[in-house]
Amino acid sequence: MIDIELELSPEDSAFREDVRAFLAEKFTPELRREAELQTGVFADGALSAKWHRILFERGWAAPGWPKAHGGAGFNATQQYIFNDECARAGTPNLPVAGVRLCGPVLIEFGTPEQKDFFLPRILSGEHVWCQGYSEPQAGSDLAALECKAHRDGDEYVINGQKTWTTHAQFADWIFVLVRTSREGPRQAGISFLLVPMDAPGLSVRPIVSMSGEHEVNEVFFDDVRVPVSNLVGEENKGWNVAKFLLVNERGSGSGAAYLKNALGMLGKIIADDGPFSGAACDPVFAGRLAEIEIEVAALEQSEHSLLEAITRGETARGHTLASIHKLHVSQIMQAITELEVDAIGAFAQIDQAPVLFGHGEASAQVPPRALTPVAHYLNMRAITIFGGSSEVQRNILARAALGL
Amino acid sequence: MQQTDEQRELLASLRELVERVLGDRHESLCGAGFSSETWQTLGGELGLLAASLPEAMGGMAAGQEADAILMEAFGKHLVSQPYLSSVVMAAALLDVSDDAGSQHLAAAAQGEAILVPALADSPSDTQFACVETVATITDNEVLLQGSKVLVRDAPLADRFIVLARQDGAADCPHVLLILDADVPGISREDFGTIDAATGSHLRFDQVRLDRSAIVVRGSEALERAALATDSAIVAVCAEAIGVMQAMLEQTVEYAKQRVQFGQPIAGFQVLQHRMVDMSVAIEQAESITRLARGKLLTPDRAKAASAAMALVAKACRGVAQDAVQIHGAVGIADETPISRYFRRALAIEKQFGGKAYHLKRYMQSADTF
Ligand SMILES: Cc1cc2nc3c(=O)[nH]c(=O)nc-3n(C[C@H](O)[C@H](O)[C@H](O)COP(=O)(O)OP(=O)(O)OC[C@H]3O[C@@H](n4cnc5c(N)ncnc54)[C@H](O)[C@@H]3O)c2cc1C
Repeated sequence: MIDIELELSPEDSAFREDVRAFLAEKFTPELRREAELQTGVFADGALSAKWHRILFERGWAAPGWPKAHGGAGFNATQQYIFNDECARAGTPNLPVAGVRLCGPVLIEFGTPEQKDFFLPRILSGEHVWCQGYSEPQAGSDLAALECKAHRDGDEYVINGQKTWTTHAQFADWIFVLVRTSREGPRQAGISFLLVPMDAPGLSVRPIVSMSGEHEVNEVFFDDVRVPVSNLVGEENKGWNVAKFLLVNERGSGSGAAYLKNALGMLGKIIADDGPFSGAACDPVFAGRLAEIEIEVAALEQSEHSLLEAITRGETARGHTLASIHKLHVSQIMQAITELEVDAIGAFAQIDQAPVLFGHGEASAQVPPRALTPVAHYLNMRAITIFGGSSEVQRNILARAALGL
Repeated sequence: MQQTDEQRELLASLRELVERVLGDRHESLCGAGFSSETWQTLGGELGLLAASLPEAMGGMAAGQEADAILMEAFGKHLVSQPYLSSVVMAAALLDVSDDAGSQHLAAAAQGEAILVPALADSPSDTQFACVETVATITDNEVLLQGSKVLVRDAPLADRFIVLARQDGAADCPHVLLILDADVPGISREDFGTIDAATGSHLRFDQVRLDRSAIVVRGSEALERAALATDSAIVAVCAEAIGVMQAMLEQTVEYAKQRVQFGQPIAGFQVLQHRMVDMSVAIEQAESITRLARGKLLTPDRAKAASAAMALVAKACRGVAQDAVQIHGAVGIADETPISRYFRRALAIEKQFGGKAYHLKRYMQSADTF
């Protein structure tokens, strides 16, 4: 890998040393072993909770939130350093629904009461969140959503269905987009509501992914009641909130870090002293790996330039770059998982779901490094689909960047 | 590969029969639901499993063409076991002209016995060195010791056909043995596969066999293992065509009925092109597979088989990825059929060495066609 040299101020250098010392102490070998067995889009519920708690205790659970709301208050460079160091160490990929999606929405649109109640609980990990946007007939075309809510006194009554809801099985709260009006354009009748998962009438059905992992769910609402105070923003103005959140979802600004973490995993699979070192000696495989590394370096440079622009107060290309980065990150991630699967060859045929997600015992006949690649490959097919599919990102770029 | 009218008619009727039969029976042939009763019906009552075998064995003598038709249909219906092991490979390993061989094969063709080859010691043993599996042959018995990692279909086996190295024979050390799956000393560690079939890691611990277990010794044993593997490669390529055709059909169908932004997503040109690319890849895969089938009994066999496997592996990957992408989130759910085809396509890629291995073998084989 080519390292990108950040020009660090003395404070930022000191900060980097802090992060390194923290990771060296807190990211223990046991946690590392658990993290290495993760194949999902996000680390599973138990590991996520554990790592989140450790970050919380250090005051780093929400790197991007302002200090006033209990965040770490990192500046853009520090966030970058933090993500990069975590990726190098191989820390778990934490779910985004609470800290990265709901939190910023509440900070931007929430009432003082909502902020006071929810933000500390997101930070502490007391509330795990999930995202209720998609519905069976509303995927890429989100505005087609039909899950509806009507006012009844000082309550909303919700009826309908959400689907593909990541980690609903671990969540305490769900934020949902609901239809509160059928007048005017579809976007004008949508509201953003906060719903406790234990509300009467709310039920969850698991959807098992093709890897055998249980990541996503259907969530059903049958006369679910929440107080009007759970509305975020104004009634029928939820689309603005939704879009604000989608932009955050698309551009994390730390795609290169995410990919470097995955490259680290791949490196372990093909390590010199392991049974799959042969892959790395194959010139075709080695060439594919080199190409990926170069693309990651380009992405990192691009993210870094964006960071400098943001630091200077320029935001002009921000949205365009968010789509470009989403496209890149998802494609490169998929290419990395293809290399993982190709490295282990025939062992890819063995179903490791019972070992990874159940109570199955790993076989002594199968090298431990062959456990995760297939599930990782299968799970990562989703990355070009969610958060705005690759086709949708290209549509956005055609319009926004090329004026087509 | 010129076919007579009569052969063509025979093959057409075979295709029709197998489609009809699998249409309402495939549930009991897939994965954990495998029913040996249904398998016997396919063999004995319907005579499908013998189609490729000589008439003397109750077959239609339709050879590789019959294998291809059956495998393609199995692919379409996700029946990933155990025809490839029990008929395609077994027929190349056993000698139809000798009594014992033809009896074993006839039983396999009737669906009464399932024969499972265990040739390479492990996935990395591509040259069948078989250093771990040793047979000590004495005047009155054979003693088998060793292990085989990753043997597909092994839990279904009534008999194993095992390639071993003869203790003390330096020049042509190989021997091919056939043995009952329940002989004392054989132990299995079973696993499920991503494509809902099964397999085992096998151990042979002081397995004592009668000398009649010997199928063939010396270079012929090795040659048969190589032929069986290339035959299996060409057959699994035909299965891949069925798998990919099913994925294309289901994807086109889904795209026509899935509405987003007020129109079926099939109307988006970028998806149309993607589906067209899928069909082009399948066409290419079909052609190279037909070519390889025609070369199976020629000196170009290995090169042609690798050419087919390399291209089919590439097609499998691309077509499967496109199919899931066009399905959106629905495509990643285990309960959606497309995800099961996706996993079968991936297993096919890896079953006999992946694309990189076959490209290498293609480049290393003498250039004759
Ligand atoms: C693993 C996973 C986790 C998810 N987690 C969540 C979650 O927590 N919360 C949540 O709300 N949602 C979640 N989703 C749902 C996700 O947001 C949707 O999958 C996404 O919006 C795409 O919608 P869709 O799957 O219905 O596909 P569709 O919109 O039906 O798209 C099908 C295909 O058509 C293409 N297509 C669609 N429109 C166009 C167009 N205009 N031009 C060209 N091509 C087009 C798409 O790119 C895709 O290839 C998750 C999805 C997955 C796979």
